[in-house]
Amino acid sequence: MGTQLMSHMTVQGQEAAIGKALWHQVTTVVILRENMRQKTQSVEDAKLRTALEI
Amino acid sequence: MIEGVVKKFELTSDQERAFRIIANHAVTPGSEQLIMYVGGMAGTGKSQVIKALMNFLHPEMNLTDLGVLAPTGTAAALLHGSTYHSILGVPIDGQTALRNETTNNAQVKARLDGVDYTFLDEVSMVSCSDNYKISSQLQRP
Repeated sequence: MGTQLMSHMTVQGQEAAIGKALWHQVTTVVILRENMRQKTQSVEDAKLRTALEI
Repeated sequence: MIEGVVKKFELTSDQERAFRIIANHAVTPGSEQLIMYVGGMAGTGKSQVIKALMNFLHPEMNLTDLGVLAPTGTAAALLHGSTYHSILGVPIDGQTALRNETTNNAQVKARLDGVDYTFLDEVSMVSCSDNYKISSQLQRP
């Protein structure tokens, strides 16, 4: 799905493109990375908890 | 007051950053519209940030005054919110709107009266065309 409107697009296609363009108006982003569950457990738990961290 | 909520909810540094962006925006007069996304894996405390914000913006916890929305009932129920379909009067796919459009618009306006911030949880479940529907519904006169 692109964000450009073209004359050959269906109405659904145009709506989706507008929706995507709206999503791109989000300019303030915070990504949380620390898993807050099982925070106070053993070293192994901490390893498992952080295994999938990016 | 911001400090108090940060302490009360024991926010981590990242959560605190997200919280402060919105809290500072709320107390700055004449600031531009804030369009923000908070991401992170499951269990990183995104909902906790929303709870802290709800507490900050409405300490009396009058939940009906808050625009807490989600695409599904289950997601909404976790935050005592409602689906965006119900609050904004967006018809669900494949179903025609049952209510009269003018009445519907008036009801939506009454519901959103006094709402300064809306939170849309589980935003990854909102498709491009759903996003369009929400936007066009919000722009109705």
